[in-house]
Amino acid sequence: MVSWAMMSAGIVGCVLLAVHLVLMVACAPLARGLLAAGMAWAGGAERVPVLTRWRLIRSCARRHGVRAAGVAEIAPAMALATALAACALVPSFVLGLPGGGLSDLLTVSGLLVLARLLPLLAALAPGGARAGLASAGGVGALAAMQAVFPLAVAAAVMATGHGGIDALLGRLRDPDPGGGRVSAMLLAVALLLAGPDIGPGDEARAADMMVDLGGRGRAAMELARDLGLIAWVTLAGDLAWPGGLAMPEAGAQLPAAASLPGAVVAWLARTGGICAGIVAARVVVMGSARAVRGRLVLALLFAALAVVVLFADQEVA
Amino acid sequence: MLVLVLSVLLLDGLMPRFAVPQAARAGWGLALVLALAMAVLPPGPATVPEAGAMALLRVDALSLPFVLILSVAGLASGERTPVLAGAALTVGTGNPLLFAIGAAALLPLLRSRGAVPRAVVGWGSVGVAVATALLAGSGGWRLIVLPVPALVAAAALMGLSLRPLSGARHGAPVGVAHLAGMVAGLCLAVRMLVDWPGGAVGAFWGGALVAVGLMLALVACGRALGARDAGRVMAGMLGGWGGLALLLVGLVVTGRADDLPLLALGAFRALMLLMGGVGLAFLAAILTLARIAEAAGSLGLMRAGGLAALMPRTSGMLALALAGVCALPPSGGFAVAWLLVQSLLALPRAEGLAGAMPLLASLAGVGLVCGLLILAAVRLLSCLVLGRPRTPRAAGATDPATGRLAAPAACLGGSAVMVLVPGIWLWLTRGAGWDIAGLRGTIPSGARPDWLALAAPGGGGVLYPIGIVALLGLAGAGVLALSRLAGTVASRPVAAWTEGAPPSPPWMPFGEPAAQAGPAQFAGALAWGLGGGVPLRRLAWRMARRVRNAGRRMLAVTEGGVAWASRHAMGLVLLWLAVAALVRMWGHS
Repeated sequence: MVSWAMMSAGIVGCVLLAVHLVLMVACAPLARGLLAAGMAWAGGAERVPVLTRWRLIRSCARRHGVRAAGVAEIAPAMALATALAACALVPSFVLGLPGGGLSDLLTVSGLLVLARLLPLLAALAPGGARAGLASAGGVGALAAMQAVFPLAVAAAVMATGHGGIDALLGRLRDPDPGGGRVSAMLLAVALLLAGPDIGPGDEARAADMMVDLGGRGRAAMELARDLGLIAWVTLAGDLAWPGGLAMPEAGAQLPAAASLPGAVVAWLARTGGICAGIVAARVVVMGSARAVRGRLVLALLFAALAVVVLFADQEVA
Repeated sequence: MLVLVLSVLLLDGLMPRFAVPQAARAGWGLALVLALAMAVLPPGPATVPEAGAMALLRVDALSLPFVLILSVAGLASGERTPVLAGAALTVGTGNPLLFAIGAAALLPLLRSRGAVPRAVVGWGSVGVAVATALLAGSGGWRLIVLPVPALVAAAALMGLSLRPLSGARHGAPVGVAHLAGMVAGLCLAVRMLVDWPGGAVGAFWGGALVAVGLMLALVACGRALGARDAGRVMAGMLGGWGGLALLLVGLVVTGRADDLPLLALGAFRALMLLMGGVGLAFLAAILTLARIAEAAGSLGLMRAGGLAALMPRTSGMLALALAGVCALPPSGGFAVAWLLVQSLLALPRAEGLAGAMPLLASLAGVGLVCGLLILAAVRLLSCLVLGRPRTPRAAGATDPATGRLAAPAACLGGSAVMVLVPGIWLWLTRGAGWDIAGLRGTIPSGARPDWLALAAPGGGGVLYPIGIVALLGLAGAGVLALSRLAGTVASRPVAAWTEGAPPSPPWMPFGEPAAQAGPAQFAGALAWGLGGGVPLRRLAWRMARRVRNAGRRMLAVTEGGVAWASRHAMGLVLLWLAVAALVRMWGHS
């Protein structure tokens, strides 16, 4: 028997999910714009406005499209849908939304990899050399990074006993997560290194890949890229600081309304902090263009460290 | 009825001589219906032991899933080859001796279709014979030795080996025979390592199987990345999944040895999903590739291309089949990989960090295999379907009649149903799962399959494949609605941008092949992952040269020594006598 309270909680949950998605879509181009602006500022280049990405997407969507192959018709829409689905599964400011039972660490990373893979296929479709070569390099890097995600799941399951994101974050919010806090932070760094396309050559490669695309398809592809980035950043932020998320009290189905604005601010602060960290890492550490191997090694190292930390605590105690 | 199933299969193996072509399909259809009926009916009282020939011909619950898959393969392909019938007869028997005879007879058949390299036929037969001999008696030492010949035989049947090359001398393009060999090898591994031994094989061998399966999978993925035509790429990918299947058998063995029935059951379910969901996707890809080869000629990656525009329906089907084979979310491969990772996490570990390290290494290996499978699939797709046609023969390809695509489409549909509603397929194979997990009598509620969900054996979570598909569908509908609401902006179709290159000369109508992304780029993209190709090769050459020089020097020294010894042979003998006498005297005193 479905009670009135459960139904109303479901409706409010759906509204919160819609708000979450709208916030994610609105902030996704801003986050990448923030990265570009930060890197330009730290690198001493010409000033770049934060709204650049939004302007690019809007102007692309208004232009006439150019289509050179049939696959390029459907791939942008598919990539956008996949990235949206992944964003719906990553909690930004509230836990326990409808559909939270689906959000598994492996599922989310798989969806985000798929959202990165579809643009690569669209770039290979026209058969041009430049887009094809850029895309081949991208697929190789993506394939190698797959080694990290099962390790990340292992670290999460060993630390908390859960692979589902909602259960994992709920366990991490406990007063005594038992060594899981440091492990989750290392895990966040590993995911950030392995997942999003924030490496030194990635901007140029993305521009090469979309050389044959224009119009609304280009806009969808750019938005899908940004959504993938913000999904990774939000996931890493949740793992690093789960305390900022609003969570239903024991017995209730939804969190208190008063805690929501604070949770949104905490999410924005986490995202901004991680973007600053990425800018610092890009400017200071990963200057060279041949950094994919270094990123893979670092990501594997951090994912392994996330497990090592668990056992280090046990052996000291 | 059981005898009828077997006799239909046997007749089908012999039929090509005198029956009409449709009879093969009809025979496989009958076999499929009978096997389905056996799977649907509740398991009868197994307490009454049947005697004589009836007991030998009995198809038990563990054989049913394998027979079902082979029947589907026969029905969909309609091939009139003894390989499928032989494999179905082999996996249909529960008697070790009959199974061994069938497996040993299957190896030359597989060899004749190119599914198995020549060198392993002999080793595989020896492995089958030794393993059967070991199974004939009881004794602790037999169980310690048994996995080696069983593994050799299973790897031989599945066409797995450690050779890295994938050229025409080393293997044939993928065919239904490859799939039959894979199913038979899997059945052999499960039977010989879990079902037939009197006691449980040690947990050490479970770990060894995990390592060996991972290594075989990595090598097979390497073959897929190096292959030059679509059929051999698919053969390599099938080998990669075969290696993962051996890994799952290792998990089942560990679950039985450590008395963890839920781990064994979870790993066996992953195995069933691999054989059902991924195997049917492979079958669809095999059949689609056959249609493409009819229309476009060579399937060489340097010769075909651009089929997305020329054969849109067939290309779409190939893309869907390849998506089902990769481990990316809504597909069957992802469900298997998810269960595999969760089963690995449910393994009992030694205490401390040292106990976790082998687990982490195998998890990273599984992830790498999944990534290499994606890379191989994208390479195949980009060279065959995307891009431009590279030869006039490929440029003339057109879609086949709709009816000719019905069989691969049905296989794809079956694979999707098996993955989205995993409960159906797991319920059909429930008897095998309980047998393998060692559950007898009353079955606990946790061991009954759920319709829509896949539960992790260690309690680490639940996967709803249909939920992911529904979420993707909702997001897609949202994107579609948004684009409709925003009104249509006409896009104008243009020829591909040539990036400033001059138009192709008349003798090169398909463009300069060197200016297109070809198969080599994908394989080369991983060179940095292998430690940098050129320095490594230089190091290898330097090592080889040093070893050769050292060998020459040693040979010279040995020759000189032999010549000196022969010159002073008499003196040396006298010296040896004197020394021996002295040692003797010293020993006595």
